[in-house]
Amino acid sequence: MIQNIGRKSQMYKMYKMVCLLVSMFCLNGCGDLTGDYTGADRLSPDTATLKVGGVEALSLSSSAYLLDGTADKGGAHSFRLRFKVKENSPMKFYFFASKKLKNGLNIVATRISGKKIKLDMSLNGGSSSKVLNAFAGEDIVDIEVDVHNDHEDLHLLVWEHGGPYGDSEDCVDENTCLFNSEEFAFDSWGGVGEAAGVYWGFRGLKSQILKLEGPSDAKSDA
Amino acid sequence: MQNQMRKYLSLAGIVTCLLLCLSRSAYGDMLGTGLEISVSGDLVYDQGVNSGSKADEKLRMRGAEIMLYAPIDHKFEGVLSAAAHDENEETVFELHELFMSSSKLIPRSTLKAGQYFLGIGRLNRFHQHDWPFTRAPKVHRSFFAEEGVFDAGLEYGLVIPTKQVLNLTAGVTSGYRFGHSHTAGSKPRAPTHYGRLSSFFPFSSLSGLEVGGSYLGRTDAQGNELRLVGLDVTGKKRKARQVKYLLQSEAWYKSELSAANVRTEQVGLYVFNEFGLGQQTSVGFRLDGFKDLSKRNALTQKKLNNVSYGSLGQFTYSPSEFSKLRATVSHEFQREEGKTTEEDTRVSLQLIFIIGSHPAHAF
Repeated sequence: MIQNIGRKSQMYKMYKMVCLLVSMFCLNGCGDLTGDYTGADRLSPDTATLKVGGVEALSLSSSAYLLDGTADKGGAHSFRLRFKVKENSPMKFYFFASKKLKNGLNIVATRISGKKIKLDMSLNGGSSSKVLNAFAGEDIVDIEVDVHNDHEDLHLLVWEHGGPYGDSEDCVDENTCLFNSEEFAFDSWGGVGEAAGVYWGFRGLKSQILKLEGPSDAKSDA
Repeated sequence: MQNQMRKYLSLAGIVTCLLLCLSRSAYGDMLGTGLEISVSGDLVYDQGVNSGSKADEKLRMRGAEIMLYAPIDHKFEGVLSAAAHDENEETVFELHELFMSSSKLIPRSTLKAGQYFLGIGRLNRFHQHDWPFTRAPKVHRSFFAEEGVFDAGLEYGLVIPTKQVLNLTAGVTSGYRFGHSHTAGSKPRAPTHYGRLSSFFPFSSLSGLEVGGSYLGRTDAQGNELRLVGLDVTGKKRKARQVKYLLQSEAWYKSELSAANVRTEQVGLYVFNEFGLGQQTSVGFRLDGFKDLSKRNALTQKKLNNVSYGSLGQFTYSPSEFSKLRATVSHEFQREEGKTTEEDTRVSLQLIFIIGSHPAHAF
């Protein structure tokens, strides 16, 4: 009985110390605990940005652009891409990449024979391709892309803007999506792993970009 | 097509196993082997309250689990648990646990070999239907996926015979997959390895406090290094068989070093308190916090001040240990650089039942 009382008071002292430490931590880190504005979006005077597809962008080179918006590390996000693709002028998009647009998911849109659009997806040495019949003969491609980087192997879904937004494994056959990487999860896309970054961007002629949106909440939770 | 075939084969395997268990000539024969069967159902309805809520707004069969466990012989015990989950209106069957264990080979030690939920933290060591709340806090969902991390490997548990008894758990598993996965994963450069050191402080014969510290490491096939460090605290005060007060809390720190040498860090915690109102009812509340310590603005590369908070209040009616009805009101929001970027308020109703036996729970 006396031992138990001793233990209880010891535990109570430990509990009070933990509460005190937590309170001190909270008081010291108040700003960090409220998510207040710190001016993280304020550019330095010597940094020039431009608008591409309605999104603020930083030019990395003559044809490569880092886009505004940071994804959640290990998260899932949706992106809208509305752009033109001309022959011999592919458009390359990067998702969950580094600030130099490396080590992320790459999607290259190319105009192929018959005026169709071909998407080539690649990540960590794995790749997959898809010819989009939806935009055959059309100048403008308008797609929405879900990138789920919270899976062991990144999960990619591509839809035509406006839907339908199917996400079953057979959604391509069901005509409710344009591409689902989990249709090939045990084949060409198996073992690609996760994308290592949190930024997005593109490489190509910026005049061909009509509208960009992202990173937004993922449309699918598959 | 291949995935569907795999699912059907898994389901056929599980059903065959069950039929074989039940087709033994006499119920008494089954009793003689010590085979126990437990079936649990977990049904959840989430109703969004605000427009930004991601609640399903439909009754979901969140989990249906069958567990079989029995002594194999005088040295070993065996456990099989398989669960069906509703994923995107599709029923996905998967094997959760299949392992052999023994506490009779090495003194004060338990050995476990097979596939199992990793013995780290608090929530990760319990099946979803055994959680004291309906939805996991953000730190658990982000670091361990919706339910928890399970893998195939070897785990060793030792009761260290010091004056203050210490329990050490250490394990190594394949590491082909970690967290949410619909694929087979790939061979990691360093397999998943983990450990937990815990101690129990009894206040009386009916109440006490368990404190544990956990560590997990893994390097995936692409060379990205993952490190998780956590602290878990569980306190209970009982009156006879009723839990009058439950305190459950976990804090986790996650560090990832990418193959390109970029480090990201995240922290999160939750504190849950539950008070027994009587033999069959209880109320509880939980506070959650989560922060990405390394998130930066893409264009300026300055650190983004972000934080996520969550809170919930719940009422649980449990006429027996085999059934629960739980109503929860929860609110989660995320703030970044002075703006609220996400807000989710929802009301949830959960029904849990267990048919048959159920193994004893850890403290």
